[in-house]
Amino acid sequence: MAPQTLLFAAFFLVPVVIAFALAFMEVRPTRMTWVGLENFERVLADPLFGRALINTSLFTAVVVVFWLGKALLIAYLLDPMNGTLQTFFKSAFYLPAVTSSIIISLIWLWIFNPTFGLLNAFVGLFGVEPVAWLGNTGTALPSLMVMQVVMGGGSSIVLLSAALARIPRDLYEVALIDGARRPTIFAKVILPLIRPTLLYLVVTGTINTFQVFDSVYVMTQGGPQFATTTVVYRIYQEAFQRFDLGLASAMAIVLFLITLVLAAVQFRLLGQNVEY
Amino acid sequence: MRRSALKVLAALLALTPVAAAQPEIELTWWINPWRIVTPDLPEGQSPTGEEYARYMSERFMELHPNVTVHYELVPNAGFGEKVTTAIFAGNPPDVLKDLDWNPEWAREGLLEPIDPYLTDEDRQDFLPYALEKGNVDGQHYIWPWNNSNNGMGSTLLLNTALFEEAGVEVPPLPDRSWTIDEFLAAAEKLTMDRDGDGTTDVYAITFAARDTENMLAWLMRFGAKLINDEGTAFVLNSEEGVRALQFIVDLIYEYGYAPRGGEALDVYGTIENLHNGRAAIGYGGIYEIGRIDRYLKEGRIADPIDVVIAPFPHDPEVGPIAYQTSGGFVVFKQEDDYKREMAMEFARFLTSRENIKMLESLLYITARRSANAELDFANVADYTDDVPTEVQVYQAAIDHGVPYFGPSDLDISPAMEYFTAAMEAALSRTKTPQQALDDFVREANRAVFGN
Repeated sequence: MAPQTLLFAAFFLVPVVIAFALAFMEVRPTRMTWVGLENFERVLADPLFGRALINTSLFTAVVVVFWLGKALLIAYLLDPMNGTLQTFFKSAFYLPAVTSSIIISLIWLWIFNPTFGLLNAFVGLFGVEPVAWLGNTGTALPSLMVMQVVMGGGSSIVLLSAALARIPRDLYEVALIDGARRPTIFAKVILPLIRPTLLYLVVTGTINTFQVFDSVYVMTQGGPQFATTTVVYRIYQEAFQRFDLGLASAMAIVLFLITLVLAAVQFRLLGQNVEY
Repeated sequence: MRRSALKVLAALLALTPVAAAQPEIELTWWINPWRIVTPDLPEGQSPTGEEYARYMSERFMELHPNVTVHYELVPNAGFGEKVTTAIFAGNPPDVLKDLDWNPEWAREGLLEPIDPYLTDEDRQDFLPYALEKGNVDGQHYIWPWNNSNNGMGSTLLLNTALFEEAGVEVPPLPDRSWTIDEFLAAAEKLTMDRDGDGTTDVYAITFAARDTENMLAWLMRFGAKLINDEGTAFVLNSEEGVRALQFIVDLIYEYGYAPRGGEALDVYGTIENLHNGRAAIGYGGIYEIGRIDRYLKEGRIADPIDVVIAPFPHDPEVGPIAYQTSGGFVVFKQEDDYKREMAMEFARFLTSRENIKMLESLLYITARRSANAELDFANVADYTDDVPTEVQVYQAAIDHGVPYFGPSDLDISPAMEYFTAAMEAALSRTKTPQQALDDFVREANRAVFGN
């Protein structure tokens, strides 16, 4: 067996298979008991898992759309720039991607702090009363979304820039000669031609965002009133706080199936070959 | 010379059977960092948290040269995860400081009962509730060590300067006991708008939804219980519980004696409000006076704060109530009899009258009566006038301890996130106290008791 296959098996395949097996067992420190579908029944009966699923879906839908929109806009604005300037901006936007998400979360905790946070200091200039951004059920999840959109997208900008650079300039010129305006060129020429990159980003972005955990763990612990409890945070709670590994594995399997279906749907909707 | 050598050899040979009777063993010991000042720490040097583990391991190895103690410092964050992972991996430490006591470990047969090793003197010397904490199905599993959890849920800290400024007398000695009405009268005066601009500069107290012990302490003021006496159901939505939570909400929104925004705060938010003078009353015991000292030295607070300790106010019909808790050391299951003996010996060594007193440097009361009689906590005298008196007030308060989280052998952890959610809902007024507690009780009963 090739070394890479061994590594893949040891660190990916075997844990995944074990997780599948654990989903059908009650796992105690001294024994494991086969319980069939009982863990999945518990997942379905768990109101917090349902809540987490709604929160995660909402979070993913909003974040992926805005984060991709932001990345597309920035890549489009960077496209005409010369190499050095473009590299500078791409590096600047990529910087958060190489920063620890825990550090980013801690910085944003300060920004959202109700007493001495930057955001309340700013809105206070307009006479707005201080808001407990992460303590209010109406603002906690949107606050996490804002953070994710603002800080995310660095690698997407790089990929979209590459995709835009690959489009032959002749196509723009032809479109301009035909009298097309910039929005029309963007919608009718650029978007269809970068569809493979968009597909890749939508699929990987959805999968990644569906697994949001770090910011929830550091900033809200799923609160207030479960407004920011996400699926992976629920899995973490069951697996590492209560050590109900069977239930946690069943939740992980459900998450896996959901992301699989979402990816399949996205491939179906966006997965068309592009030639130019 | 040759004769001397022979004598030495003969002596060594004579000792050989004894040495052979004591096999070489290795003990693993996991503990979270405790910044205890050890006797060998140079003057003026602050402990990092490792000194205690190193010092105690070395002292024990001196007494038992055939034992090697491998200590490991496990940070508080992720402590539970690491321990449970080790348990599931079949490789737990031999001796562990229980940060998150889980009675399931004992039920699963993972721990050694300490009963055969407890002497009559131990049983009389350890505080009853400290020993009782490790009681699972009639057997004890924890060697009691530290008493209390920094005093959260047990006592209050009163900023004497702010009490004086407001013209409020601190509750009288010997125990500083005060009623709810006396507290309300004091709170009204302690809530101050110093410059008359319509904004409160000093609040009487702070409530924080994510501060479980202190919120529960307030909820118990009027006689509410978290769990019924039989340990079979959550009953916090009783008339008394709803009345208490309404009292808290009124203190914030009706009277304005506590700041809004408590739904987003944890215990550090309340500590901060006491330290920066935004609240006249904070939470905690002797340990919290030490925190003032530490924060002052670290530059996190500008000026010293003089405080005294007082119990939570009580309803005369219910009487004083406090949170009693303790921590200690557990010994994991041992296959080897001698290793079991030595693991128990090590836990006994850590919790002996002589060694348990080292907690004094951290301003913790110990789990042994005999040791507590000798503590003076002189190093916080700068922040409170008469330390022994404050220690007595603290101990008098926790003498009124109740089974705060229900029976010690019941794992209620799956329910507590619902408690936090209920407090967040009530403090933000998104639910009435009745709705918040009804929802909590329903979900908690489902999560813990399956009904």
